[in-house]
Formats: sequence, structure tokens, C-alpha cells
Amino acid sequence: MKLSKPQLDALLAALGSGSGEDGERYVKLRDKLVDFFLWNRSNRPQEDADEAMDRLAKRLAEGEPVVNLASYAQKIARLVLLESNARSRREAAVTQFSVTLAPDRSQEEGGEKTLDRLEPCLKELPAESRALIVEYYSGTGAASIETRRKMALRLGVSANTLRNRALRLRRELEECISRHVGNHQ
Amino acid sequence: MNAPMDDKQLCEYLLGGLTPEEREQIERRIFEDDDFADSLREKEADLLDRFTSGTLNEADRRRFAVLVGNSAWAPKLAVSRWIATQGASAPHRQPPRTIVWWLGWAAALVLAILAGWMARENGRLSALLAKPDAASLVASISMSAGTQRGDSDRTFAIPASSEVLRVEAPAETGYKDYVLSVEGPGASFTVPAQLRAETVVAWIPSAMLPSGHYDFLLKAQQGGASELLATYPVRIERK
Repeated sequence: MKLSKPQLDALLAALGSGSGEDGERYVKLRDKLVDFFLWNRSNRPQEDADEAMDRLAKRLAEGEPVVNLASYAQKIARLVLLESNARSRREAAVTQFSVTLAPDRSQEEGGEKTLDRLEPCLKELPAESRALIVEYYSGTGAASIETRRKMALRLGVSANTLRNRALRLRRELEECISRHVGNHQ
Repeated sequence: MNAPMDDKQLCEYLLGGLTPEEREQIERRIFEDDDFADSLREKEADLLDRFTSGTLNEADRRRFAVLVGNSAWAPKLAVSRWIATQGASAPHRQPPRTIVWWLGWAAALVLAILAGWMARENGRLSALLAKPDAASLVASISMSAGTQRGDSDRTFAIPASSEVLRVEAPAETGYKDYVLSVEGPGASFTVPAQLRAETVVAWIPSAMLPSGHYDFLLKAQQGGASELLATYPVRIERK
């Protein structure tokens, strides 16, 4: 992040309006941006999300009148995506006609690295959280609906709360793997 | 008032489908509605788990494979794969499919290298991977952007041991479906190509390319029509 304190304050104020939940809203917006870039085939969704957050904060700090923050964030994200795609194309064009006769093991190695990083992340997760993810995502179709209904009853939470808990745990695992892969590259 | 969206639309969005207007409508709701964003994440998890467990239908599987070929998806695939190995019941698993001709096993090879779990799905692929020097059976060539007919041929020496030639070329903005046509002395055929991030990847059995001059024609397919995007003149030398 390259934000100054006034810029960050402007963003947090716009997100939270002094409700005390601005930190949580910041994380939610960033998560949405990461997903937006991932679902639009960005090669670097985390970096693109940070870039969009930076631009949003800077515009707000500059006094840009923003009526609908969600809509404004979406427009900035779309712009960042276009720029990111153009950069990827330029980088790809740099590779002039080249022949690779050696085995291309990059994907294989990437996959192995990712799996190696899973173990420490699983250890960081409490056993009951690991069990919850596995149970929640087991089965398909009607069987999975019934499993989740029974889980919610057993845990005394709504189906929506259970879904959010499972999604959050799953995301934590994915982000942990990303961090470990990043740290070892 | 936001119109309700069904599972199929959410699935299409994640697979890269829908019109730009429909995609924008969904994206607007992602940013406005936390619950809607969670619904999409749940759909994404469902797609991932069906992909890794082999229960996704073949058409969606191919589309999703293109998406998750992006390294940014690797952590998600790893978690999904772990869940699949932990799930004791694993119900409704479909029997292994016979994938059509060489395209199936060539595409499966990419995925198997990425994650290692598809080898069981195809007997021929398994046999291929069982060889100690399996990776050397694939030779790769990359085309640069903007190479057009008239440019001098580039020579690629392909080892005789290579059974598959992997051809990469830059994708063009606005196109999703590609084919690669090969034209040469006594050879004229077209193979499907997959969009992976900003690159189009095609697989050609090396046996179909004896030594000689060829034109590799990258074409986009849209609405039943085919559009030539680039021509890559090459000389193949089998050694």
C-alpha cells in the first residue's frame, strides 16, 4: 500500500461513516475487489485490488464527490482491470519467438509448491475449523443441503451464518497458502 | 430493484460467460450487496469442488480448466483438493470418462502437471506419465505477438521423443474461442485451442508434423464465423 494517512482516513470514513465497523468494511471491500479481478482473469488479483483501493482512497482524499461508494469502486476496478490486462499483453509480447525444448516444469513445480504450503496452513487452523470445512463442503446436491441443514441445527446457527463461517475459513486457508507461496518465491 | 439471478447465471459469470451488460450487472451487485458476493463465492467453491472431484460436466470442466490455469487460482485448487481427499463419502462421483481423441489426454496432461490428480482419469495419460522422462515428451514453442505472413520462417527443432507439441500464441482482446489451423505440404488440419489468461494454447500430436514448412494460423471463432488473427510461418525439424 502506498497510502498516506489522510488518504486512508478518507477511505475509512467513507466506508464506515464513523460506525466503528470501518475496518471490517475495508476488508470486505478489498475481498470483493480481489474476487472481481480473479473472476475477470487477472494474473495478479491481489496487486490489482490494492491498486484499486489506493486509487479510491486518493480520489476520496482529493475531495471527489462520491454518492455511491460501491458503484464508484466498481468503476475504478474496471479501469484497473483494463490497464492490468494491457500490461499483461505487453509483457507477453516481450517474449519473442522462443523455443523451449527443455521440459516445461513451471506449472508442475508451482502446483507442488502450493501443496507444500498447505500443510503449515492446516496446522494453523484449529481442528474444529478443519472439520467444519470438510463437513460443510462434503457431498453434492440434495445430500449437501441436508448435511448443511443438520450442521446448522447442531451448531445452533442460521444457514447463512454457517455459510459465512465456512466461506471465511476457506478463504483464510487460501490466503495463508498465498502468503506462504509469496514468502518462498 | 435488483432482478433475481439464478444459479445458472452465477455459474456462467464465473465461467467467463454472459454478455458484457450482464456481467456488469452482476459486478454491480457484488459491490453493493455483501450477501450476493457471498452467494457467488459459494458458487465458486461449488465449481472448484466439482472440478477437483471430477463431477463437473465435460463442457463446464473445460471452461473452468481455462480459468483455473491462471496461477492465481492455485491456492483455491489446493484447498479444494484437500477437501476432496478429506471428504469420506465423496458421493455421486462419475465414472472415469473417455476423453475424445488426443485433445482429451493432451489437455488432461496440462491439468495433471498442474495438480496431479487427473492421471487416473485416462489410461493413455497414465501410461505416458509413468515413463520417467514424461515431461520431455512435450515440446513447447511460443509465438510472439504481431508475427504475420511474410516474416521469415523460424525453425523449431522438435526432438523425436516428443509426442506432443504445445503451441502458445498471444490471445486477442474480445475473443474467447480459438482454433489453430496448420497448413503445410500434405498437411491441413485444425485443432481446438484454449484461452489461458492472455495466451492461447493448442496441442498437436508431433506425428502430425513431419519436418517441413508450415503456416500456423490462429483463428477466433465467434457466432459460427471464423476470423484469422495471425499467421505464424514456421519450419519444423524433427530430430
